[in-house]
Amino acid sequence: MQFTSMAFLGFVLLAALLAQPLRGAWRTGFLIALNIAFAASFIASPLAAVPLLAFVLAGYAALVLVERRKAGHAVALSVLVLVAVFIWLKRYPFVAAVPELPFPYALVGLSYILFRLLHLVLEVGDGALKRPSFPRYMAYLFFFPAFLSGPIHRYEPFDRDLDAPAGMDSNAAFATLLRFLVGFAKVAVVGECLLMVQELFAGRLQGALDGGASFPMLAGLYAFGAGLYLLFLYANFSGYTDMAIAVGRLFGVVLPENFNRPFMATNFQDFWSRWHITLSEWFKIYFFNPLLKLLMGRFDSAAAVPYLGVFALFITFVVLGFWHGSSWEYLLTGALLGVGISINKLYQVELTKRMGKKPYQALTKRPAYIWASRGLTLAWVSLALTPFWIPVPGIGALLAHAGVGGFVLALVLMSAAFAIPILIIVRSMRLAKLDQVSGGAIHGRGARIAILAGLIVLLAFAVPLLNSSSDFVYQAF
Amino acid sequence: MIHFWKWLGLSVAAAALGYGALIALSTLALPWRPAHFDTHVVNTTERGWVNEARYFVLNRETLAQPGDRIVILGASNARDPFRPALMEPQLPGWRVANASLSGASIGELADAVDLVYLARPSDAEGRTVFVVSLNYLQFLAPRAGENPLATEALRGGLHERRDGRLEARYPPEVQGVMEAVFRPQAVAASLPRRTFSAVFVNTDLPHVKDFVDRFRGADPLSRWTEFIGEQPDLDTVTVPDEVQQALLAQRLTGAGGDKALPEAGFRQLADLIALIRSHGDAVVILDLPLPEWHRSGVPVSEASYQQGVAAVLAQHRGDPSVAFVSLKAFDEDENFFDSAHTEPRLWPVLSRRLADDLAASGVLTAPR
Repeated sequence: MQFTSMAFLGFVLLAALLAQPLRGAWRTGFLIALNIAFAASFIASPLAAVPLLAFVLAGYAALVLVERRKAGHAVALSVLVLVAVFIWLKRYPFVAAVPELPFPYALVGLSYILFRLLHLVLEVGDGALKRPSFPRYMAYLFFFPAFLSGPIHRYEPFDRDLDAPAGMDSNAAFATLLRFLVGFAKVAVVGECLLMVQELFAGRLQGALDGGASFPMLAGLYAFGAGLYLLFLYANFSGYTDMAIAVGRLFGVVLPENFNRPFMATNFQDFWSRWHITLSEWFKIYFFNPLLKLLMGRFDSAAAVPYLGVFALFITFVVLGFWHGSSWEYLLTGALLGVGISINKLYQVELTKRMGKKPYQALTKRPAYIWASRGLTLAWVSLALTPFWIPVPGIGALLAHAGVGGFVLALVLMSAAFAIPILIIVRSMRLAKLDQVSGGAIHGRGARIAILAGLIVLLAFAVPLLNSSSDFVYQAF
Repeated sequence: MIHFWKWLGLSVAAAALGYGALIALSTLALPWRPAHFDTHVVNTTERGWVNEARYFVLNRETLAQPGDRIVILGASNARDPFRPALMEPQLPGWRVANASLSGASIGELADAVDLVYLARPSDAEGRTVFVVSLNYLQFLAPRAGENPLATEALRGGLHERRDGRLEARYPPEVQGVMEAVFRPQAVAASLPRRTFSAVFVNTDLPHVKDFVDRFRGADPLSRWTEFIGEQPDLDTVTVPDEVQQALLAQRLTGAGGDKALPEAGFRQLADLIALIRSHGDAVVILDLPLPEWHRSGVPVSEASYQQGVAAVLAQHRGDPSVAFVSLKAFDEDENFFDSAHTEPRLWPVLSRRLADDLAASGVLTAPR
């Protein structure tokens, strides 16, 4: 049941209507039933669901264990076992020698379940959180709007919303419906159009590669293919998130934001505080911070701390990249993201050291610097995502043909192709004073209905026209 | 939550009104029901349909109207030469529809027949004679994925594929409404192509055209297609020897060489004839002309095609509702402007010849 299907629309509207009067255990039970119905729509047979259910049950057993024995080793053991089982179920290449289950099984939602599960284990183990009851645990872990691709929500606010669902006044109701429709349009219209154009460039790139085209031609085609893929991924994923947040709101659950204008990021760290925010936060809290703490414990030198931060960032992003998929392609993505962010951090450390803090900060506020940095950041992220659309042998062939010159030219082209249009859009919006307008700023009833109806017509018109498959890219991770 | 339902109800009602207006506007661009069902118009007078497949799906109700009807099926080399308006005067009492689809394989022709029967009530008055226009090209191994006709039929969930056959997802009356709902999209879908043609292929804008031409394929077929696209009169075009060889070589490369055709295609043809006969309708297998240089260049495929079709027809020997018509007499090289398409000067001749052959074949008068 894809979010963009008629079946999902019917499911959500009917379920929201039925859920309205329910409170307490009835509400929790109903949410669990909805979660099961939604998850089941992605699972071919009851047998295929067994490993997923066993994983979730093992997770609850781990919660009971860490609650009873608050010792660090119980928590560490639980985390290790859960991650190991996750790696085994996902068939990462380095466990290829370990026997696999003799039947096909479902992995849908497993990555996001792992994040929520580890959050619970670590927080309950730390004593910061009380172990939820099993029904609440199931309602949280499988919460259907966030089941496929997040946002990765924390348990405490969910627990609160379960008891006292967040209400909706007229403005919130309008904003919720608007957000759902905008998200739908981002996925099924904007994303699909971007993907079509991106596939054109990818096809031409392959043709140029086969035909032995010059390196500037290869660099140009690659630059646009890679840049468009980042735009497509944003439309696809942020659109899905908009829909997930809106659907969560219909059931009285406020899900966290996952995007904050990532194309306005001025450096890598800034980008990751704006893109897939809940994942970045999760990794920061549960991976980067403990890793840095561990490293600082080993290397007791104040001068080494910034460099340890650089190293911890690199490792974090390699792991983050590998989380995306159980193949070497994603390790390459992680390595490229890690290289980007660690070079960026190293550059900041070194320049601050050489120039001094104030002159460096003054430099980073110059418009030319901001826009060059913005362009380069987006270009490098696009480059790191290349394995998402070109398999590794293809990347090797591209590098062999285009060479270092082609690679540098592609980065420059991409940087300019991001920075210049964004600069023009931002300036134009500022001139037209559109940058201060948001959905909440539309007050007239007629204008609101016109906007909502316009979006519905757009979707009714464009979705069959584009024959959108509208799968969520992150659903596969 | 009551506010949410209020906004949803009001906006859906407003959207329904807006969409209704778009449907009404679309009738200005596209005729509601064509006088002649003829996919040829998609490339000549009614470009709003974007492609023949969309025209077919959204107009096939015309093929379901009561009455005796001849439906010509085939690829683009059957779409252009057989003109319904020229054939009908020779076939009194019969309506002629040309439902051919560019590049159609035997699988797509089978889908086309499925779609006709899905639109036509089983108790509909009148008889349909399907003219299945073929040469070896229809039996080459199809490309993976759905064909353009199936893509259109599956669009928006109108149909689904079950056991290889297209089936309607809604009862006929709902289906009709859904098809009306898709009309505005048909108009919109044609806009990018029309805009592209008006700007980038416009010979009055030579610099733009030259620039676009640089991105075209450099293969012989693309270059020849571009050349004939620039000719004001296709009747004067002859295919030079070196182009013949290049086109043939490209076809052979695409087909993996000159080899026996897959059996699956002939099974599809046999199933297609069986399906038509099970409805009490008739079939004429029309062997299309092909330039001599092309036919002689693929001797293995050609022999395989002739044997395959003969074997299928042998199963219906003695059935007056199954006939075979050959237009091989038109194989002379000078009749073609490329590797498969006849020159426009021949179209009236071919139309009348087909009408004559149909009348003489006996299928029009055969009992059901």
